[in-house]
This record gives sequence, structure tokens and C-alpha cells, in this order.
Amino acid sequence: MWHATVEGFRAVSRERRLVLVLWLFGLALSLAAVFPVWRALVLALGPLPGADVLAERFSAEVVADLVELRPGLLPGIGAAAASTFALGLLFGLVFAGGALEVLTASDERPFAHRFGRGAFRFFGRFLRLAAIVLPVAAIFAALLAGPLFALAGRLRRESGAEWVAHGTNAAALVALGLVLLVALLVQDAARVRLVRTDQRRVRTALREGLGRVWRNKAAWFGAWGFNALVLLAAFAAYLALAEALPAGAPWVALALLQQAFVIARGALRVALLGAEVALDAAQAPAVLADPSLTEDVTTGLA
Amino acid sequence: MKHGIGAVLLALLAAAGAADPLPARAPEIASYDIEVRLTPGTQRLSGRQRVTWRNTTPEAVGELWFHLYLNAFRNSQSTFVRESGGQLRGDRMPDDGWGWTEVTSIRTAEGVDLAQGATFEHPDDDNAEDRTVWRVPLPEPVPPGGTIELEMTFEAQLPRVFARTGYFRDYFLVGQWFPKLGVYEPAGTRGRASGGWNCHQFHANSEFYADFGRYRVAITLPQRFVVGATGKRVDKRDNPDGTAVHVFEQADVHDFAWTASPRFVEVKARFSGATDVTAAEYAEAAALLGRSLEEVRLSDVDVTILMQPEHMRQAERHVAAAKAGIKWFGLWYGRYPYETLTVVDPAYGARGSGGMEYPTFITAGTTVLFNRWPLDRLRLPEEVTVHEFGHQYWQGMVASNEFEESWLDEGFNSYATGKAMRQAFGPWTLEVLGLRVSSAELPRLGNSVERMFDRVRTPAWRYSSSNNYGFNSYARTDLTLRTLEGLLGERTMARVMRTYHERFRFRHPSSEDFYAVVDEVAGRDMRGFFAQAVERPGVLDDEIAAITSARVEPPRGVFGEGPARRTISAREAREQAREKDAAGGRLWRSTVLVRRRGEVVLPATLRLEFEGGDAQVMALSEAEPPAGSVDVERAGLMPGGAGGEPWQGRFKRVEVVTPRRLLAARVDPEGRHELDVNRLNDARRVEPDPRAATTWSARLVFWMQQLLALAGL
Ligand SMILES: [Zn+2]
Repeated sequence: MWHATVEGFRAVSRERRLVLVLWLFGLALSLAAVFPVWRALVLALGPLPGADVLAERFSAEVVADLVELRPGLLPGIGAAAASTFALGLLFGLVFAGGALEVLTASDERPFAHRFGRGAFRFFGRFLRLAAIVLPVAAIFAALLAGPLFALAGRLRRESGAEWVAHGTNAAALVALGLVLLVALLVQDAARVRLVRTDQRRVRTALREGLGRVWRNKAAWFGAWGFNALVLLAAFAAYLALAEALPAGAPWVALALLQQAFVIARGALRVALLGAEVALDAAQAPAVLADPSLTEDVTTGLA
Repeated sequence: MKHGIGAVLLALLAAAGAADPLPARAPEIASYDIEVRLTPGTQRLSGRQRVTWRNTTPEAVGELWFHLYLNAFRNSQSTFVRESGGQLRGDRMPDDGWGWTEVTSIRTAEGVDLAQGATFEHPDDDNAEDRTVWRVPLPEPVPPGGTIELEMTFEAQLPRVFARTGYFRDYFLVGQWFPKLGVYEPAGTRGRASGGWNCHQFHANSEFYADFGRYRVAITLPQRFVVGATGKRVDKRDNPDGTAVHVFEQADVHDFAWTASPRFVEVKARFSGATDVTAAEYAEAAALLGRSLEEVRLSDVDVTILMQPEHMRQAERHVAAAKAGIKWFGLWYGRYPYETLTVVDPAYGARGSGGMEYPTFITAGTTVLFNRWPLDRLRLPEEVTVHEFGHQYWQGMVASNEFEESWLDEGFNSYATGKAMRQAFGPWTLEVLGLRVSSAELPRLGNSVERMFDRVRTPAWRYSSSNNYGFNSYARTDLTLRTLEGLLGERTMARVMRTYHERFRFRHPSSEDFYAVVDEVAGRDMRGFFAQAVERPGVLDDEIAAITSARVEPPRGVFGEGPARRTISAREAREQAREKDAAGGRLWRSTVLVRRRGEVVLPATLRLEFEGGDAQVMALSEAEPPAGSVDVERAGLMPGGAGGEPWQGRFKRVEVVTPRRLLAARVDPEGRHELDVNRLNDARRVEPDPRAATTWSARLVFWMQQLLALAGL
């Protein structure tokens, strides 16, 4: 796991442009989504001195009045967020394909060529992969967390044990998180398989990915866990710095800090992909890249 | 000589007595001596009570009306269950958790059986199935000044806690549990044409109304239970059968509730009038109210908090909140006259019994989630404790009719709670992860036309929904009183509230009584305000609909006659303008369009803010400001004041020509109109300022980026 983690960070320093691409993708999409919101906000808030307080802090009272004055504003922001999320799902596939190709390809073609090649080549397969993983994960989540939530509700009504009821709710949330985490790790592993073997059969890759994660659980979860810890530390640092900004600091100061965090988060995402590639390589020598052989290796697991 | 000194002393004592306008004692009208046994497991109560009723009215009274509140939970046909749909204050009625009560015997002290001829009444609706009001004809009327004593026995099944009262496992909150007299109101009381019993059914959205008296209650239950109740514990003894008897007594109250659970942790504290209030605070209160230091002096109170063990981390918070209530309500409205206060932290699963007020006994409510960061700065346990304590004043002592005029207790108490919370705990009621909401803002959050403004003075059960009842009785009344404070000033308002409390402590005032006190203390007729804000459903919403400010253009076109006729061309006009600008600038013509989006008309001012920091304030009155005036002083704020009648129209266009450019305009610049449903539109500026929009858009970009990361990008 440590080896893979180190490999991941090496990959970041080798392919810094991946972090840049990831950041620019996200920034462009976010700006495109927020621009119309900004225009609507300027129109709505600009002429109203009562809204100036929002430049300093959140004010529930002002927001409530604003919602009454402009009933379309909040739904508009909601729609912008929903469409951004949908685009994020799609571009996430594009980026994953490009990034994994960049990280695994050994040719000397320019970065843009390698990235574009991966993005186009694997988009369809990654999409099919997600179409399998997400519903299966949803079913697992419902099976696992559903009864726990129901139990928590029953405990709330029937038992006097407050901690137990809250604990059950928390356990249900943890179960949800675990299912999501497993699904994401398996999906990542399957993606690495697809890119390294360039096989067409998504289900085979998925089975192999599952096998990789299953056989080396500690390393896969460890790599993810370490990555998540560093992300948490970065977020804590961001919060501390944001808190330390003087009250009158211009919005640009906070915006710069935020972008620094977003870039750090992008670097960690790339580091995780790099670590996953390294984990996969450690488990599957290059010779196994022949699809017929991979099939053999994984049959026992399917 | 000796005799003479005695007379002087007596006169002095009398004078001292008269100097304190707080009545010391309540009239003893309905008193109860009760013995009750609780059998856990069956959740049954068996009771015996001696009821003494004194007829203080000038009318002979030939029947008695009782509340049998527990019958509200008897079946799905009761008025309470029908109205609530089995859902109240966010809680659902549990299946099969029914409760009921039956009077098994009722006799006069002379032994005359009164059960024959007793009937269930339903004065508020035609629901013959409702058994919450019971009428008992008397063999002969109780004459004015007369007294009747009754011996009664009753059986009751407690409901599973859902609305205020009942059991949950081994936790009991026993309220509205004994057969309780209504209030006999003679003709003329609170506007009544003829005398009669004011005894309403138990409704979903209404609470209580009763006469004062003396209570002595002996509660028998297993020894393992920790017990708390209204009043002072005067005796506790263990019986050989494993039960214990807890005896409580309290005079000058109009209800009695109690609680029992083996899980309670008893936290004791003492509020001290000497150490919990500083000399400066006494002096400040006395000065604010125009009372002597002696009059604002507070007495000591024994505080008992019955906590759930898992909430013990919050015990001190409850103590602090109870003390804050005793202190600030005491300083502002009059000292808390009872020796005890008991605060109950309800069991988990029995939330429906939280947030309720009974004399000297209140229920709060919290959760383990508030034990620690990040939710420990949600001051809801404090808020609910202070609020329920506040009902000792608005409902407990000033015993207005909660059924018919709920704003007089819930609304007054919301207003007073907000003030006390700000004094004791600072402006923020909710603080979580950097987001903060103040106690002043909270009632404003629901203040919109969407919540259906109704007449505030609507009988509680006649509101169209419990949301509607809640908004109009609590939040909107809070805002109404804050608006009144804005119009009268803080000092006058403080004296209004003090005088109203002093005059009606241990009495049953109506809305008119409050209006009269306001007029008297403020020294002016405020009926117009109450007519709009309380008696009618109108909305207050003044806005600056449009604003412009532009240079005055030099004249163009044809001027003069005959040989003197000449034409100033557009080019010449521009030339002139340029010269004027070079010589020191042209004047600015500015227009402001004030629009009244609601129906309520309050005296208002308009403030115009000019470049360079100049401002001009004018009264929005029917009288036009002097032509061309740029320095209209703020005129009188009230109808008939120097500003004349407040402006009654819907649109008002104000135009001024000034040497400076207009930047912004505000109606109600002092922020007096808390009741205004939208204060964001109260001000508008000529040039938009994108700062707030840009700040939030920048944050939004960051959040969108996080959202994208969640989506896998
Ligand atoms: Zn209340």
C-alpha cells in the first residue's frame, strides 16, 4: 500500500498537467453554471442595500426576504447545481479515461494526444461500467442501510434509548458510505483493468477489478484511506486559513484560497489513480495483459 | 402617644404596601385537595379530590362545568383527535395509546349525589362524541360570595405521550389529569353579554384557562420513582407496600402537573436575588421602569431540574436558562413570587410532553446531539426553557384565556423570550459551523404572506391550520410587539409591559385591557395600531419600488414671444450644461417611488441618502412636504403628530432637486417596522453594487467544484 501510495504521488509530480486539466475542467464547468446565477444575483441584490450584509456573512433573514422577492432564484440555483452534477458525471468519465491512459501509456506521444486518446477510447466502456456499478451499489445500499434506517425509526418511537437510536442511524449512514466506497474502488479497479488490457468486455473487467480489490483489500482501502486522510487535512487547513482571513478581506482572497484547495483535491485524485494503477500492476504482471490469460486468473473469483 | 406611633407605623406600612403595585396573593376561587395513586404498568390513575369553589361573581351560579381533558385521547371521534388528525407539534399519535377519564362519584360536602343530571357538553362544535366538557347541575345555586365543596373520585387511563401528557415506558408527565373547573365569567367579563362558564373543549390548537386557588396533591406510586410537581414538596413518606407518598402544595396557581420517572437525575440550584443580579442591573431596571429599587428587588427561588441521564452534559445550560428567566422576567415584569421552579427534561420518545408550561413546573426538551460540537451552540434547550418559564408570567400569573386570545400568552411570551435570550445569551440562538441565526431573525423567517396572515385575535381552534395558529400567535405577535416598541420607544414599551403585568397579575385580562394600558402609559391613542395589527389580517410591506437620480438638463426649445422669441438648440443646451458643470455642477433631479404592497398603514419616514454623506428624512404623510424643500425634518411619527395623517395611498412619488446626487432611499430607516413582511425591499439604491452577488457567486463556484468532485470529476 505504501509503495502504491508513493507511486501515486510520483505520478502526480510526473504528470502535473493532469492536475491542471482536472482543475480547468471543473473550474470551466462551475463558472459556466454560476455565471447566469451571478447575473441574476447582481440584478436581485445589487440595488438593495439591505443585501450588503451578505458580503460579510450569511443572513437567514435576508435570504428569506430574497426568496420572497425572487421566488425563481433558489430553484434556479438548484437547477444549476443539478445540471453541473450531471455534467460532472459525464466529464468524470472523460477525465478518468484520459488520466488512466496518460498514467499507463508508455509511448512518447504528447500529453494532449495521450489524454485525448484515452478519453475517447474508454468513454463508452466507462459509461457501461457505471451503468452496471451504480444500480448494483444502489441495491446493496438499500438492502444494507434500509433495514437499519427502519430500525432506527422504530427505536426512536419505541425505545427510550436515545444513543442507541442515533447510533443505529449513524450505522445506517456508515453502511451507505461503505457501499459507496466499495463501489467506487471496484469501479476504479475495473477502469484500470480496462485501460491496461484494452479489452472490450466491461463485465470481465468488472469481475477482475472486484478480484483485485477483494484479494488485496488492505492495500486498496489503505491507499484510499490515506488519500482521504490527506484530503481531510487539506480541508482542515483550508478551513483554518479561511477562518484566519481578516473580516474585511476582499472576496478574491477567499476565492484564491478555495482554488488552492480545489487544486490540492485534484492532485489527490490523480495520486489515488496513480496508486490504483500501481496496485493493479503489483497484482497483475504486464504479461497478464493478454485478455485470454486474465480470464483464467479471475475465473476462480467470479 | 404609643397609640399615635402605632397609627403612624400602620399608615407607613399601608403606604409601603401601596407602593408595591404587585399583588401579593391571588384570589382563592377554585382549590383542590387531591389524593392520587399511579399504577405503573397499567398507567392508571385513581384519584379522590375535594374541590372548593368560591363564587366571587355578583351572579348566583346554578351549575358547575368541568374539563375532563384526558377524554381528548379517548377515541378517534374526539374533537382533539379529529382536529389534529392524530398529529401535533411534529409528533404522531401512537396506535392504541388511548387515554380517558371517568368521574366515578361526585357529591356535595353534605353528601348530595350530583352525578345524576350531569351531561357532556360541546360548546365549540357540534361533536356529540366529545367528552372533554362536563356540566354538573347543582341542587341549588351558589349565591354571590358563597362557597361550594365537592367530593369527587375519578379513574383515568393515561395516553401514551403524544400531545403534552401521558406515559412513555416508565416516564410519566401527568398534565390535564384531574376533573378541573372552568372559569365562571359574569356578564361584562372580557366583553361577555351574559354570565356563564367559560369552559372550552380540548382542541388541537388551544391550551388552557382556569381560576386561581390553592392546591394540595398527594401522589402515591412505587418508591423507585423520582417525582417532580407544581409547588413545594411538603412531605414524603414510604409505605410498607413499596410505594411512597409525595405531597406537594402551592397557593396562587391555576393548575397542577407532575412527573415521575426512575431515570431522572435531580439537579438542584438556587436563584439568589442578592447574588444572581448585580446592583447595577437592579439600578438599570429601576431606571428603565421608573420604579424604586425595592419594587424591582427579586426573591430567591429553589430550582430543580429533572434531567435525563444522557443529557447531563447540558444540566448547567438548563440551570443557566432557568435562572436567566427568573432574573430578566423578574426584573422587567415583576418578581417571581413562588419559592420553587421545576424544569423537566422529557424522556426520549416522549418529546410530545416537552415545551409545556404549568405553574412553577415546566417541561423543556433537548437531545444528546446537543451535548457536543458541532451542535452544542444550538441554544434550543435554553430557548425552550426560557420560553416555558416565561409562561409563568404570560399565562401563569397574567392568566389570559389561551383558548380565545392565544396571542396574549404565546405572542407576549415569544416577545419577552426573545428579549431575555438576547440579554442572557447574546444575539445568536442558532450557531452551527459558521452559520448563525439570531433570536431577532427567527420570527421573521416565517413572516411572509405565504404563512397566511390571519386576524391575530382569532380563537385558537378557529385558525385554519396549526401552522397558521403558530405563526399568528407566536411569531407575528412577537413582531407586532417589537413594532409597537419601535413606535413607542424602548422605555415606554418596558413600562407598558410592566404596568400590564402588575395590574393583571392573578387576573384574567383581555386584549382590550392591554390596549387600555398601552394608551394610558404611552399617553396616546394606539387603537389604530391594534386595529390593523391584531384585529385585522392585514400585511405590512412598504417598498422603494424605483429610484432615479439624473442631472437637471438645461432648457431647450422655443422661449420668449415676438421679437424676443428664440430657440435654444440641443447643441446650445449641451454647451450650457458643460459650462455649468465646469462652474461647479448642475443640480440633480431625483425621484423615488414608494409602493405599499400591504394594507397596514403605519407612520413611516423616508430617508434619502446623497453623495457626500448628506441625508434627508421626511415623514410619509398625507400632507405634502413644502415645495422645493430639501431639509424636511423628521416629523411626528404618530397619526395627529406634526407629520399629519400618515400617508394612506398605494404609490407615492417623491421628487427632489438637490445639489448632490441621490444614492439611495429607505422607508422606515430606523427599522421600527419589524412586522414588515419584507425588509429587503425597504431600501433601494441608484447604482447597483455587485459585491454581495459576487461574494456569493465566488462561494457558489467553490461549492460547484466540490459537487463536481463528488460526481467523479
Ligand atoms: Zn408557549
